[in-house]
This record gives sequence, structure tokens and C-alpha cells, in this order.
Amino acid sequence: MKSEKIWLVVLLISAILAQFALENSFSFLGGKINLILVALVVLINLMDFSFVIIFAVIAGLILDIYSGLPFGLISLSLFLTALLGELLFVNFFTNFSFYSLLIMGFLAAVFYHLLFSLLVVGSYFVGLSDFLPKLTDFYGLLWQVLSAEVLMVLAYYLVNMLSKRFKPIFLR
Amino acid sequence: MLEKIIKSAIYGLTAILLAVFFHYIGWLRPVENIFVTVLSPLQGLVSVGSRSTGGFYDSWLRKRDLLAENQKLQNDLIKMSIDASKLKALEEENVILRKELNFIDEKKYKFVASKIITGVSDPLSQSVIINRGARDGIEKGLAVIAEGGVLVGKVIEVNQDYSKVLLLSDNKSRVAATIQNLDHTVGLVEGQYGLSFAMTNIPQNQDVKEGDLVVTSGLEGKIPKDLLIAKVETIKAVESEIFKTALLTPIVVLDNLSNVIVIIP
Repeated sequence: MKSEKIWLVVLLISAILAQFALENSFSFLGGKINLILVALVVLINLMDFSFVIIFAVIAGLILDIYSGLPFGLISLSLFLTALLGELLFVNFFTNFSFYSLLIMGFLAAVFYHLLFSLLVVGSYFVGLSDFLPKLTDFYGLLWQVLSAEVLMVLAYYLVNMLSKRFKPIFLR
Repeated sequence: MLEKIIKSAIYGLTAILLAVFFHYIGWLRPVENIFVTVLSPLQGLVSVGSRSTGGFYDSWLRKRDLLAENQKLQNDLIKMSIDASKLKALEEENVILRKELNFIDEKKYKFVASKIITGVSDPLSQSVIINRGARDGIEKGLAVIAEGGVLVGKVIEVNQDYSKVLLLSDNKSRVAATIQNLDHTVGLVEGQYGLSFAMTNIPQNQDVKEGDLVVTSGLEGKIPKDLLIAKVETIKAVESEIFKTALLTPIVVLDNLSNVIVIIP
């Protein structure tokens, strides 16, 4: 349990730092990759829900500190995505397979970005922010879903190298 | 299982709502500062690394774009150099043609402008091929002039669409000429082995000086009078002979001709 907590902290910090690095230094990738979301989906498959919630809340709050949007938007979106992911995992995607990870990743990415956009629009109309997403910003959703899927594949292979939690099931 | 999920969800939501509340009342500020302070050094390190990688990618992109632009500019430069040389050639041709036109206008000659296509293929004769022939009214024996109305040759062979012109420097070339001196000395301008020409059969008693101009005499029916041919360079006189010879300097360099005019009497 102690080692799991250490892993959580290391994973959390690494994911956040990597996310910032991607946003700031690789401008062509800006807004197209969300490492925190990918880490969240992988954790849903591997860890206890309480672990996942702690990760989602803390990562979300740290990202909120650095965000220009109203405080709590990112953490709320991540939290609700984690909740949805866990419900899907418990009820439908229970076999730890490659395909269930991909489908969960897809659904989580779509849900997260739609929810996030909704909260941003809501905060604009309530008067909490001056930022209103344009229609072109929604094109980024496609990129984010695609990149999430690609990263899920990489994460799957990485976890399979380090542990036996995932079942290496592939179409033949 | 569901109860556990609901319980965790309630805790999580509560934590978020409290954090948001404390943030907006300012109580969360010290915690936020701690996070930023702790993460900053790590962020700095990661940022340096990612910026150099990102910078590498950006510089690779820039280099690729610069190379493509460089290649395009080189191609444009080559194209412009070709255009510039064409323009220069056109300008030179324009000057020559204007001079020829001025001469023609003054003398009110009928003429056919033509271009020299090529020199003849044998090395012995000093002839050129022009792009005008019988179809354009060219006849054998007509005078061919260059810029400023200087005689450079005679038509010796005519075909439908092209003709052969014998230059004055050819050994076989003979043109009846007059020196513009007091005596109006009459003689024959002959080609000198492709190098120059000379005026022969000048009586010894005729006063010919260096620098005197030599023009056509008009004694040949198809060649008009007073077409400038050359300038006297030196006089070769042998006392025992009846005639002397004047070596002439061409006014126009015959090697560089490109556009000529054929005068039609």
C-alpha cells in the first residue's frame, strides 16, 4: 500500500510536468494531448477507485492552479470523468483487455472534453470567465480523442511490460 | 461495490467544492504557493529539456523550410538570370534595330529586316544564312547592311525562305567602292582571307589618306550609292606598280552580327 502511494505521487507529478512541457514547448501539440486523462483511464483499470479519485482531484486542482479558467473547472471535469470511467469499468469493461481500454479511453476522452467545454461555456454566461470557446475549438476534440487512443495503446504496452494486470488479448 | 463508488464520489466532490470555496475566499492561497514552489524547480528542469527538444524540432522545421525556400530562391535566381540575359540581348537588338531603322528612314529605302540564323558549315568561306528568301522579295546581288547603314555583305544565293550572304571579308567578295577624298577615288573592296578587306586598283597618283571613309560607288546596279563600308587604315604603295592598295578597317565587327537589313532597290 505504501509503495502504491509512492507510485501515485510519482505518477501524478510526472504526468503534470509532462503535460505542462507538452503544452509549452511543443506548440503544434498544444491542446491535442491530455496525459492526465490517459493516466486516469489507465489507473481506473489498474487501481482502486479511491486511488483514482485522489489522483483525479489532486491532479485537477494542481492544473486549476496554473489555469486561467475559473478555479475548479478542470478538477470537476476530471472527477466526473473518473466517476463515469469507474462506472463503465465496473459494469461493462471488466476483462482488462486491450479493446476495453481503448473503448474506455475513447468514451472518457469524449466525455471529458464535452463536459469541460460545457463548464467553460457555463462559466462564461454566468460571468465567471471571459473565455467562450469557438466552433473551431471543438475540432481539437477530434485530435484529443485520437491522441488519447494512441497514448492508450502505448500505455497498454508499457503496463504489460511492467505487470501482468492487463490481459494481452488481441484480435487474431 | 456501488456503495464504495458512491462514497468515494461524495468525498471527491466535497473536496473539490471545498477547494473551490477556499480558493475564492483566499484561504487556499498558501497551499497553492507551496505547490507552485515545490513544483517550480522540477518544472524548470523539465521545461529546459522539453524546450530544447521542442526547439530542436522547431529548428528542424525552420531548417526544412529554409532549405525549401533556398532552393526556390535559387531556381528563381537562375530564372531571373536567364530573363536578365534575354532582356539584355533584346535591349542590344533594340538599339541595333533602331539604328538600322533610322538609317532606312533617312534614306527612304525599301528593305527587309532579317535575322542571321547561322554561319555556313565550311571553314573556308565567310558567309552567313539569313531567315529571308525569295518569298520576301530577296534577290541575288542585293546589299546587306548592319547597324547605322554599314555594308557588311551581298546576297549570293536565294532560296524560298532563306538566303546566303557573302560577307565583305570573304576572299571572293568584291564591291565597287569610292573613297570620300578630294579625288573621289574609285576602286574595288576585296575580302582578305576572312580577316579584313582592302581597296585595290587605286591609281598611284590618287591622294588617299589614313582615316578616309570608303563607301559604295553605286556602279553595281543593285547596291545603292554611298553605303558606308570601312575606313582607310594604311596605304600599301609600291613605286614600280601602277596601282596601290589601301588596307581598310571595318566599321562594324562582322563576327558579332545578329540582325541585318537587305536593301531592295
